[in-house]
Amino acid sequence: MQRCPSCRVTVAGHKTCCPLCGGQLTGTPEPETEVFPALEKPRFTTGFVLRLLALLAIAVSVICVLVNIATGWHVLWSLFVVAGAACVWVAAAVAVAYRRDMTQNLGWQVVLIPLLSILWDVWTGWRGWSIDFVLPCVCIVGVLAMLLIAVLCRLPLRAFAGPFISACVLGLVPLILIACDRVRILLPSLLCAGLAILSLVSLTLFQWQTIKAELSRRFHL
Amino acid sequence: MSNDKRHQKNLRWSRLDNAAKIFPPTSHGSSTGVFRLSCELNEPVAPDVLQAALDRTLERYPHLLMVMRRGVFWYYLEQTRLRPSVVPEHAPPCAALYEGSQSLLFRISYWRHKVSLDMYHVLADGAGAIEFFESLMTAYLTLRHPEAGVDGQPQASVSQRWADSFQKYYKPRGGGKSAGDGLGRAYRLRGVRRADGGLTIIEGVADVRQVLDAAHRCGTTLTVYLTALLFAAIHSEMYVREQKRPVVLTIPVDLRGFFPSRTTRNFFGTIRVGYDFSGRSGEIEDIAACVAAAFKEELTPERLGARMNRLAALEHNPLLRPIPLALKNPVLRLSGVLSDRGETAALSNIGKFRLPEELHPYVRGFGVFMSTGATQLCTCSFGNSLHFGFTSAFENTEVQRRFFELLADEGIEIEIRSNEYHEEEETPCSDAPAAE
Repeated sequence: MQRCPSCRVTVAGHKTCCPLCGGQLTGTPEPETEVFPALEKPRFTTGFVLRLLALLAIAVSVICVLVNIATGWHVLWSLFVVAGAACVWVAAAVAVAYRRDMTQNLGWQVVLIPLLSILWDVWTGWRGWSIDFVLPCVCIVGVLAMLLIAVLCRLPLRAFAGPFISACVLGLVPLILIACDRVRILLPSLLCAGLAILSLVSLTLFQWQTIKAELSRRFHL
Repeated sequence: MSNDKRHQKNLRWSRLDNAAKIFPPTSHGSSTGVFRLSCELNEPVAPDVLQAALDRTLERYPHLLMVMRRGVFWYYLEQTRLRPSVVPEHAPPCAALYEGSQSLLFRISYWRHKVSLDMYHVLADGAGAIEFFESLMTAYLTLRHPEAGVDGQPQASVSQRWADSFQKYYKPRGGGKSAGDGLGRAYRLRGVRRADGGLTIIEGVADVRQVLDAAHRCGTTLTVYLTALLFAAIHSEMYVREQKRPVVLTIPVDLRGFFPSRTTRNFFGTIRVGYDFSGRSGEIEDIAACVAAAFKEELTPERLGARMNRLAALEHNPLLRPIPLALKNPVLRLSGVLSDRGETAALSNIGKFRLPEELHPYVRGFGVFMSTGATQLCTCSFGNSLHFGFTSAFENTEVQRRFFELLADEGIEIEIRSNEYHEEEETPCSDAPAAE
């Protein structure tokens, strides 16, 4: 057993210094009395990946701003790059954060992408492309992708009921927008609303118990 | 529809109990809300036997097979079909367990002679986890050594174990006046936080009889004596100008001793004990007298019940309940930060581990560690071995060094273990002769 003369304690295992005072140890090490394994440090952590992505986004932004300044201020095109890089980073961060649960990941992207698009649309002088195309198309893709994942991974409904119902409810929003006469190109919105209504109706007809239980869990006060 | 299928459809779920609600928003960095119980055996662990013992034990603890999910207003626990497998120890003690809704909230790992249970505090508290861990180790040792001849013990029913005792004993408007919170801002330990965001683990093992003798020489009990030693150890690190702030220790109390309950879920409260080094002598005897008086005052069913009701009243507040979780989390996180300001360190006396007498020869001892954002000491005993589990978010080990020095001053033999490895052999120790 090793011993620290200044702390007057014995030290288990094989240490180069006293864990308490950092002083030198006397006696013979006994590695077999070690209680904690020496662990390898993980190579990537979630934080590291996010910081790496942030560095990439900031690098692209900085380079573009500098080039923009060098080539003259007349058109501030670099602002678009900066905003674009920020949006891509946010979407990537959500994807990384929810990487373990694909349906939940999709659920958040279905909310996030249309929201960012609407902001872009407003910022670039409202042309309505965000609600004409992006919102309904993203909802359609999201709902279908969730169903595909559920079939491929044989997920029971309760495993993805939360994000699926949320995406379907969001799919009803284009219907409201049509009613408010905000949509100019109807086809994507109608398809999206149709899919959402059919999904919700079939869930209610065939899986009412599951849906009811899921809602009571999710909304308990 | 088959019975089995219907069972799967109606998932069991439950709310988080009152104490558990604070852990998800405040779990970050080294303060993961995870605690570890470990058991050291006299022989290497057999993983397949441990797995068999775990499967057998979980039949009696089905409510531990839960995942945590986000609701709109609160997190909740939901039954899962995931089953744990025992793994070689690959994560540091008290490493985060919650990784989204697909992860179990406890982990059984083994390394050489040691079995460890890491448990997220949302699922159980110390006393609850000890009950499970003792059952697991009894099952393991019985399978491993059938010759020991152990009989099964009577057990609490599953519904008793999964009862929410906070709800059971909650009295609306039973709050009473605030007690023990009036200590104000406490002295905070200084130090460099570890670069990896993990915990510095220092484990000490001593003979309980030697420590008990020292406590008796001081004229007090073991718990009070150890609390006083920790105060004194913290004092040695303080600058004189910092002594105007009191040193405050947070001490979790198992409420099962005051309100009958057999739940394995959280059922604990905390008390705070302060000592003002600027106005008092700082002698161990004086600190011990001060601590003993505080314990006597705080550890009554009335005081603990009033505190429990105050905390539960927050959860029952009709204005707070309908706030969405995403807004609640920052508020709860902030309240955690504010509450941390009032404490210097934490001390948790887990008490005795018990195994059937026949199994004692196979076990060397038990240990406990709790994750923390500052420094925490957990003590427990088994047979004649007393275990000190220091966890700290800081790199420096001044408080730990001083604590064990005070014990060594009393002539107590201590064995120190740690998870630090100084692999770069060329790094000299701090008191090694400097290279020319």
